[in-house]
Amino acid sequence: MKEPAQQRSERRGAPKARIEAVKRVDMELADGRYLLVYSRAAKPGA
Amino acid sequence: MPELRFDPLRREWVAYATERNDRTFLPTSFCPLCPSGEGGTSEVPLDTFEVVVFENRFPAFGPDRVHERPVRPSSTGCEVVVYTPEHSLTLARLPLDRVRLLVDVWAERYSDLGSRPEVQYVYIFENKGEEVGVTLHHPHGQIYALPFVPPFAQSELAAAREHLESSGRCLHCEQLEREAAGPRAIASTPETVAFVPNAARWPFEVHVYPRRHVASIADLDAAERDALAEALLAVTGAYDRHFGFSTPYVMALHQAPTDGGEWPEAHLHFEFYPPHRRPDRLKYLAGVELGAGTFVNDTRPEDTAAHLRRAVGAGVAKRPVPA
Repeated sequence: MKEPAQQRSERRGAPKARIEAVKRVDMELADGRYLLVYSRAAKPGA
Repeated sequence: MPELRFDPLRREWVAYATERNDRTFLPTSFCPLCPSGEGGTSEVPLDTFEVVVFENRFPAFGPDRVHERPVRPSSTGCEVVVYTPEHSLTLARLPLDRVRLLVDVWAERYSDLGSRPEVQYVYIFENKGEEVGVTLHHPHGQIYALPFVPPFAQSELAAAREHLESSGRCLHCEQLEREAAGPRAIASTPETVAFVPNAARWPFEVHVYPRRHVASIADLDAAERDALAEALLAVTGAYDRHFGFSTPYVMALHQAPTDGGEWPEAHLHFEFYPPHRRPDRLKYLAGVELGAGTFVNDTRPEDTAAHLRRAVGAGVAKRPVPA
């Protein structure tokens, strides 16, 4: 079974925190396609 | 509906996507990638945004289809990455923090799309400029989630694996050590190296590497992502300064396949192929490139690197000095 890429990256040492620093909001367009809205997540305490 | 066919002579897949023949082409009165507000008719019905990703309305690959054999399972996909709501900007003119966010978005898409069982390679790229065939000028890139490892990546990985097995060393890492301080380097930092490759196909081809041996963009740590964003701005800005106009290019990310295997030979890097050989002349792919697969380059990599090195330096000199 295929190991998820993220899991594999983390096993190779990539810190998950890098991706958690990005906020993603999932939306849907009128014809059903997805629209992902990315922004910089606020830093803790900021 | 997109379809894949396999050519046994070239041993390569060819994608057919007939709907793309009628896709939006250089619109002048309406941009599909600009924010159009709630209920708007563009691809981004938002008031504004930082970076958005959406499924391409005219995909070159996926979803599943069955046609003549052999056809690989290909429930894959194509995404558009819009870098900014500002229609007239380019990657070279984005603020550093936006490019840094892009690096994170690319990493997230690599991991997300690469986790799909059928996706073997996440190909992230940008076509910029009409000279390389863009149909929309709004700053954006694309991602193809492929059901196979594409030929250029395959041959690069095969060479790197052979070298790793015979020498125990990464072919890319060896190249970096050689290029970082050599005559073809255009920008070096403790984290990244940008250089014109020794056997560049394109006159102003540039490769950008993280110095650390990482297989994918998702493997970069925070400092390396910061440095990568700076390196991308340095290279694209150098192109614009050298040529004196917003320079067209193809930008391609090469990294590890996502087929579930181990790829110790993979080393993430970006490749830039600008089509210009002079400000007023383009390099065309013609008989020897298209028919024989051999590139003829009218410039020496050491000379084009010197031009770009000066242009990088000019960009650094313009930056405000921190207090």
